Amino acid sequence: MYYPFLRARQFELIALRELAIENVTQGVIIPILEPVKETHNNLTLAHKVLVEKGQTAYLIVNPNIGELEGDSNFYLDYLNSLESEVFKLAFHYRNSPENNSNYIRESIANYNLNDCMLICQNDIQDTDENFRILAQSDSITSFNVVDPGRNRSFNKYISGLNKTYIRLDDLFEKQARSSDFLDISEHRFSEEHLYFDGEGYQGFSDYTVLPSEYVDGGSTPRAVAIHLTYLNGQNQIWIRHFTSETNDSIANVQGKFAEAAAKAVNYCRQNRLTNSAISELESYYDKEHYPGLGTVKKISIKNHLLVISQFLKNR
Amino acid sequence: MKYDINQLRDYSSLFLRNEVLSWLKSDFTSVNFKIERYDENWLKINKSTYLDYLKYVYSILAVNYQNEYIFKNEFLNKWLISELGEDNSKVFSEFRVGNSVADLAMFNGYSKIFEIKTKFDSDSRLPLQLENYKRAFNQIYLIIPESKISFYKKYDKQIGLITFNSNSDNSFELNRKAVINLEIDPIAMLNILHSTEYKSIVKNYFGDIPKMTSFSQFKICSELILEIPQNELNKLFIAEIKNRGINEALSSRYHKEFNQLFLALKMNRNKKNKMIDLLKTPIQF
Repeated sequence: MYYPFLRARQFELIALRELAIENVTQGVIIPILEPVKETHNNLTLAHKVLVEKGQTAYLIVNPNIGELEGDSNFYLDYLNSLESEVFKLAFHYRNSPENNSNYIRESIANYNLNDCMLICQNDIQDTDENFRILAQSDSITSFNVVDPGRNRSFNKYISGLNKTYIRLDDLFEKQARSSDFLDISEHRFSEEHLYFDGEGYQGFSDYTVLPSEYVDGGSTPRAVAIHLTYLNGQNQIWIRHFTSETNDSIANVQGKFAEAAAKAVNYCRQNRLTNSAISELESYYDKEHYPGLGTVKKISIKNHLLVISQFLKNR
Repeated sequence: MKYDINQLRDYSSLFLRNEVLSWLKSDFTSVNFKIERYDENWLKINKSTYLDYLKYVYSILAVNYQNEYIFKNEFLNKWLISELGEDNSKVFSEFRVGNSVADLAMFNGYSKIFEIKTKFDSDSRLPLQLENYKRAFNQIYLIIPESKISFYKKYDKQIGLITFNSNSDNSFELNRKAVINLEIDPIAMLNILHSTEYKSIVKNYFGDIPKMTSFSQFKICSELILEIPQNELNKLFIAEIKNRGINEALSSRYHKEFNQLFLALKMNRNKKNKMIDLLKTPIQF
């Protein structure tokens, strides 16, 4: 199972909605959503579609970032009001600024929760009693651990619990400026889909083709980059960063998109790469229509999830 | 009273964008830190609100630590707001011009830039900034401390100079008027405009927009805009930018300590009132 870690923002959620409607993610992909805004209209909209289409997702109720950073009841109450069956709960387990195991235990008790996920950094001691009590509770059924190879004893402890164990890798290398992608040639992106189950994990997780770091807002970019992943001959996932050429000012973002899209579309056509995300990009390109940067991001996310979904379904 | 420089620096961090975002969430942690660190005595005498405290801190900074926030805010209050009142004019903080970002840009009959150089700033970026601004704006003013006047006078004679006197009551004085430049570079102007704005200029001048796609619109509109006489284009440009954004609610009378924050955060009257209401919370630890 693949667990893409995404921020619950408009275009991320649209990507998930569209993929669920296509019936390509069900059974092989379970997204983990971290809310970053207090308003949750987009989330409620996505929830409706996911319910209709039977697509499960995890919602983090105590985000590490954004407007509602920290341990609160806000999203617990929200989920309660949805009476959701497709949204499962995920908690960040934190040691700093202070240990939050009490918050997690109380939330589980007060809201009568089960089938929850703990998202853990790899700095947790396997001897941490607070953690052990939680980890052994029946309400916690899966663990998502950041780069678990960095903490052997913790890794061993989690493996021994016989619960769902997912590794979270930070794969996308963000550049200081989008225009820096211009000089980066295609490169290997991920092989976790090939090896996760052989190495004792029930699933793998990453931030898709987005940086793990969260930045709110942002100004007009000097370059447009379309990040497309694909399987190479050995089934490794590779990535290409199709980047605009005229990046000396912020003017004409539409023209920059045209440049980046031309490269991407040519490459996909030459190499016979097709899926619904690529078709959408081709259609914008052929109609000379600029869909906005949110849609560019959506296409990159969808393509990556489609690549993995196709692989997991056909293996 | 003499204040330690670190205390003043610490105080000045209260007038940052991120602070306002915390206040709007009723989070006054960092304000509480400052009170605890420096002003428990003040609090004993003045059992009052966060708004009172921030105004108190501002009054100290205004006299003792004229960093960019204070400088800009005082300039807004003592100079720009009265000019703004005149007619339908518009002011922007941090206005992007080519590869530079102007401190304040104002649009009434002319387009004007006000670039602030406090005594803490170097002039290393100034030549490039001036080059960028001159391509698209009619008047450029530098706002500088009085003590630096001879240093900045050597720059371009067309640039206006406004001095800031920190020894008196933070007053501003016009030292040299900016020469009005109507030789505007249409390409520089295009780089400032959003796509809806340059399309609107084409429509306003030619009465119609030719058939184009989002890929070709920049090229087609650029070619047309190059045909518009400079004088006309300057007017169309100013009119277009004036439509941009919200109507700020700046007042030189009420809560003038926060004007620059209102402007930087593009706050309308509602948001501004909301922030002030939240700041009226009594101080509590």
